[in-house]
Amino acid sequence: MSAVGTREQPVRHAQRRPYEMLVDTDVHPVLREGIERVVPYMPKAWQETFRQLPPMTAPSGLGRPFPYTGYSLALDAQPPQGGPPGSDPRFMVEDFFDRYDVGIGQLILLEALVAAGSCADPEMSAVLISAFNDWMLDEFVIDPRMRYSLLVSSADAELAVAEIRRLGPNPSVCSVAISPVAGKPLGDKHYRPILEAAVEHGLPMMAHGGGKVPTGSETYIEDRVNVALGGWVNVNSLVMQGVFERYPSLKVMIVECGFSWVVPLMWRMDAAWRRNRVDVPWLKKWPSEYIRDHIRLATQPVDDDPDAAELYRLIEVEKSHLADILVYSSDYPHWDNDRPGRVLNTLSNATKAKIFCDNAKATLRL
Amino acid sequence: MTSVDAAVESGATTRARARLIDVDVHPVLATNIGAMLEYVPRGWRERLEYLGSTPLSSSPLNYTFLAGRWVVGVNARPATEAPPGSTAESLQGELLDAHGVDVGQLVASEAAAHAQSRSYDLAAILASAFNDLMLERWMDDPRTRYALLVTPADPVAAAAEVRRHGADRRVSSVWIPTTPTRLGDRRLYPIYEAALEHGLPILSHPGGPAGSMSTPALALESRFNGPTQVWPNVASLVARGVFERYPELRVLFAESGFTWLPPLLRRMDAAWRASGGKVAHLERSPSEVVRTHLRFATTPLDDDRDAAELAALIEDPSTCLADVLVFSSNHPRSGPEWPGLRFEALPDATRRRLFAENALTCMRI
Amino acid sequence: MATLTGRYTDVGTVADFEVGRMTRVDIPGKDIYVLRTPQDGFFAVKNTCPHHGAPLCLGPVEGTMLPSAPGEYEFGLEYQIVRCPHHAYEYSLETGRSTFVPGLDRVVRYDVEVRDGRVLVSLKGK
Repeated sequence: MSAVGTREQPVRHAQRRPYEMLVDTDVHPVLREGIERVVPYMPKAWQETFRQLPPMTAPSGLGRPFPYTGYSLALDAQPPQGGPPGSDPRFMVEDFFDRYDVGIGQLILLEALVAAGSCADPEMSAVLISAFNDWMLDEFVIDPRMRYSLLVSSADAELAVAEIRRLGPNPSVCSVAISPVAGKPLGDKHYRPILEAAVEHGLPMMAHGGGKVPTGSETYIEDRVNVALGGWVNVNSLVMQGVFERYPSLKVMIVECGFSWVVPLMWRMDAAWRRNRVDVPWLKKWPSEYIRDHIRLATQPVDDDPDAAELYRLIEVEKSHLADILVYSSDYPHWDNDRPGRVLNTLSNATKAKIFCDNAKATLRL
Repeated sequence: MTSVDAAVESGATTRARARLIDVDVHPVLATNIGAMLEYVPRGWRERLEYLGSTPLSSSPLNYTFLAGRWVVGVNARPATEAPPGSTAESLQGELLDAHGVDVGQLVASEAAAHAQSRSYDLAAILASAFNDLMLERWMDDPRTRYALLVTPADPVAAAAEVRRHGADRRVSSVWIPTTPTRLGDRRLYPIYEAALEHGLPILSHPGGPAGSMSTPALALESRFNGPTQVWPNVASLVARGVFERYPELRVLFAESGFTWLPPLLRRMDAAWRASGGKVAHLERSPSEVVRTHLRFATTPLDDDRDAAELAALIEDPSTCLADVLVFSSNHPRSGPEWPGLRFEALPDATRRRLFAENALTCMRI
Repeated sequence: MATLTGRYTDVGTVADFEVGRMTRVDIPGKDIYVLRTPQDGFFAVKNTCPHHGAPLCLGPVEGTMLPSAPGEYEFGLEYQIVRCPHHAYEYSLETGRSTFVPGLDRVVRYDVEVRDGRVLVSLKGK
């Protein structure tokens, strides 16, 4: 018996999946020691600047971790050799990829986004981001099932483009990770060079958390609920600003905002378009159709309490477009992860095939 | 001969002969603002009409010219008679002729409020329209020059605007209205590069009046806070090594006063010495950078110092003021006394620099 | 000259109708407006929006934004559309269908003929 108690057994029906392989769009490597691990990957001149900073750690999880759950990480995912859950790539392969037979996992390094966000200088932030990228691709991506969401600076489009050109060709890279700048949702002109570079490399954009919408929330639970607003605001901006008319091959994946909010958003955007079309005359079809064709939402956290049935019924309704929009995610090893086989398991086989495999396969660059 | 030709011709002569250059003159656009619409492309013009109340709501001008069916509340003032300075002719008479100004740089500050619209595209469209309007209708007198308005929120569009008008010799600088983005921010580099291609210096000048209603106390507080807009811009330009990167670049700060500058210079020099050369790109002392690359317009004066006190301050070499000051009238907002009178206690050599020579280093004439 | 079939009502001379302005015509039992275009074309429209029954013809007819490239605005369809004063739904005066946003509802229109400088409106809606 391990020190952290009984380990959950994977659900048996994993062997009889009605799809080719399980694609998980949200897996978190965790780096707790702070940035010293990645400083050696920086240019010499910058190493000096970073070494003289006070020690910086970047807690994983939401900006305000939930304090009752071991620093936001699932206790049973703790590597036996030590270190927090998610910090050992070999254990992650064994404990997650092998155990649940995960075919592809998109790795998203949150610490990097938080650390880079606290650099006052965009160039400094970009150097740190590059170092994280190099470290991940060098030391963490050790299994062909691991794919990497390439981090880029959101504050400086030029530097972001340079990073996409530098590491975009790496076959382990499956998407471009961006944290929208407060007050500038992804439809903003500012991001266009970044979107263009992503399209140039056949990469989708990935926004984890959709960017902070200032809500003045006092508690973790309010923040958690409000995370959906980031998704809402960015989808609205992307569609209405005509981003998908400019870049017809672009797809944008929004991760860890849940998805139930997208249905009322589509209703609202469609009705608004009928009334306010003159504001955005470049839209050639219903906003919900752009969402169906270009936006992908990672499923975690699934709003399945107290009763998932209604939500699952809605997924099966064709007009909701959810079967086309959703891409499964676990959020391993965070405490509120949705392990494979534990969510969305009463959907039809055809819908499962889309959500657990086909949609993500067609979106990520694999 | 077009006014552009006149500007080209007069350029060399002016540089040689000018005695009085006024770097900050405000054409009053009250009765002209509707005319700006003629320079806006059709689709956008319809959009402005459609929107009804427009970003121009931050202006105290009468904007029923633009949104004919709407009557504006607080800010509307019916145009009964033309206020001073509201036509090119009145500007000629009231300023250029009346005070013997050899060159006056027109800064259309009402326009800036509009060029700071939240929508970048609209801001750039309006800035362009204002520039077209000004260059077509206000610049016939060969003594006039124009500070080209650009939109710092969209540096790429701003650079395009600079290139569009850069060759027009009546354009004397590129005006970046004061915004939260500091002038040392690398995102503005495209604007600096475009300006340098045309030998144009930068003008930093606050935009038009803010839209919000304020009490006399708040307005007073805002006056007290004047330098707080400029100080961070000076700091950022120097600390981020913008002039090491662009050695030809010059920046003029107008309508921000200057008596606060000497303490800032001392502070910057002391901090730079204390940093022990760790800021790699800053090889010259900050005061040296300021002396070479920055200029400060004289009006409005920060306080009530009389001519003798001002002369003492300016003549003190440690202040660098004799090197950096350029005369401005801020017409027609200068009040009854001609601002030039406040500098009459200066020795001739300093007066020549302040009234003409220094301006040649921060305006393209 | 072809003869008119069906019932038409004489609603006035061409000069009675201001260019570019929806004008109500006095036909008992009907709420119909007539628009004279700058090219001296005529549309006659039932003053009822198919969406929620609003007085459609009080809305602007000057034109609308055409589908364009992102970030650009192109104005067109001058005097070819009407925009409902409630909810701003736009309908083509030519086809009665909603313009640019696919929808099934249609505006009721009436044929208009001009004979000897007089404007004649059909009483049969289409």
